[in-house]
Amino acid sequence: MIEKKDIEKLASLARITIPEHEIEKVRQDIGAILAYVGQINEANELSDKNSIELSVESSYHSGVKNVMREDGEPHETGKYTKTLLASAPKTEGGYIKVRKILQ
Amino acid sequence: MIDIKNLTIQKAHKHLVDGDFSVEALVAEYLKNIKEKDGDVHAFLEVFEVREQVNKAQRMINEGRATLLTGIPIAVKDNILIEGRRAGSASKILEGYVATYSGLAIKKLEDAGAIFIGRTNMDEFAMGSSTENSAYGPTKNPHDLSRVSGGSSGGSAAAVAMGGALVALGSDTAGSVRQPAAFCGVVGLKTTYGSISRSGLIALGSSLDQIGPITKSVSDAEIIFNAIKGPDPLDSTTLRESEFDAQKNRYTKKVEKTIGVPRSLVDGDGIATDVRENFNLAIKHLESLGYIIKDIELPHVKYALPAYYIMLPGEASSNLARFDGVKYGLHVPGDKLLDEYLQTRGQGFGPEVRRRILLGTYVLSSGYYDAYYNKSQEVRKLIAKDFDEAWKSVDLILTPTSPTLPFKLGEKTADPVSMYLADVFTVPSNIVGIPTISVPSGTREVEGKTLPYGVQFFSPLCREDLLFKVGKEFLGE
Repeated sequence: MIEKKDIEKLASLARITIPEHEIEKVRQDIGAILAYVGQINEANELSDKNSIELSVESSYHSGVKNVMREDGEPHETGKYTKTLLASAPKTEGGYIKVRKILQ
Repeated sequence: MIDIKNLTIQKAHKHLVDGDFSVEALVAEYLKNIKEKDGDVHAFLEVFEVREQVNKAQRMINEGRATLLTGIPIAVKDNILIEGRRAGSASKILEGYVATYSGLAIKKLEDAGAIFIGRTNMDEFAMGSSTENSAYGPTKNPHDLSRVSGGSSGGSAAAVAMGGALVALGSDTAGSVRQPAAFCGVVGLKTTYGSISRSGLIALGSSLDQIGPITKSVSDAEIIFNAIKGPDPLDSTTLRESEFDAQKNRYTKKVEKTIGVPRSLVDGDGIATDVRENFNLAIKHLESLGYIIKDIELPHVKYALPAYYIMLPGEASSNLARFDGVKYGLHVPGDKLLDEYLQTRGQGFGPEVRRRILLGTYVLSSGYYDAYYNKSQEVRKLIAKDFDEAWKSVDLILTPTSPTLPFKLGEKTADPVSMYLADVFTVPSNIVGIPTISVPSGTREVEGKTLPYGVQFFSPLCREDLLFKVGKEFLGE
């Protein structure tokens, strides 16, 4: 059972303010969704978890692998800086500006 | 006067090349429709200034360099970046954001000379099945303005249905291309995961997202797919051509013209009686075309939707961590940096997005990760095995696209779980990565309005060709 303090904790972890008057509705909604998704526990009882191995044909997930490339061919320094900084709400001298975090 | 009602890409291309009408005249027809109808429908968040694109396309035609897509007006969902244009996933948190680059799909269309006519409305960050979660108000169904257009690519589907664009791009994470296509009476295609690059698509659930076309015909969907597919170094999950072909060849010469129907899913709870009746008519039609229909079992598919609502919030909560008021979009000032994060995200995200981020944070938290996220990945494998088994005896699978006809605006907004159930038929293909196409399947008069049905065909990985073949036969193209 999800409680009010759980919602507050999640909101703090997710860096989202939830207004006090909305917390109860969010708590009920998340409770209902968790009850719904809990069904998947039945699915796993049907099969031995360790036996699930996929053939190459089954799905793209069977062939999932890390894709790496060698370091190299860097673009010219500063090539995209101006364009990207133009999106930032606050900048100063080619940097993104944020509030001081060390007092 | 150009008859855009019956226009296809191929027909438009021929007229443009033959000089029957100019790119400008063609685009003007669509702009006229938008002006007349979009005040009611609200498919577009912005209609672009197209002059330069029109001139470029006309030059390509005049100089004999036209491709099939030169001069074709395309509407683009608001979560797909076009360099230099606004994009915002219909969210206040991206208010004012201008895209700094175009993804591969957009670049390919641009090189082909297509015209981007405007950006379309959607559920905020593609979270929803009705476009009612847009921060800019819902898109209404062009067939009945009291009903939803579907979602999350509701704007794209409505744009095509009302003649605001010849084709549109959407994105499909759980049915977001196919369900609105069905609701608006047009064709929607979700392709094999990895066949179309996700670069330039604002991420929702990275293991599920695919860009997909919404069109008036299966042939048009095929043309767009061929134009935008292909590997991309900027999306490491894209398939190389050799990988795509190897996968495709695994399924050749197995079974032909045999369609499986997962009866227990189609006859399940919450599927409207009229949808089932329409579905049975579709089966009869396919039989008359020489297809063999077989009942099949997909025992774990009933867990696809609950598994999805674990994996998707998890992936979305992580993808949406980048929206913090520092790098782009909305910035709400506060006393401390932490306050700025909390306020920007609290005010910038709408209720459904906040709900899913909290849910995702929960299922990924250390105490619950195994019980939820990991388990959902196990279920994913079970479902993949079900399909694997099915492909031994059939080469296509058929279901309705949506469990109901388009519903009324506001009908499902109070209860998130009832909205989630709208994805019951579409979500399995995203879970296992297989391609699926939704095609119109007749209509029904309701309260004096003609509402469209849709059915969808699933095929094995990389067998889009089978979908195009059966889709064309089904629609008599």
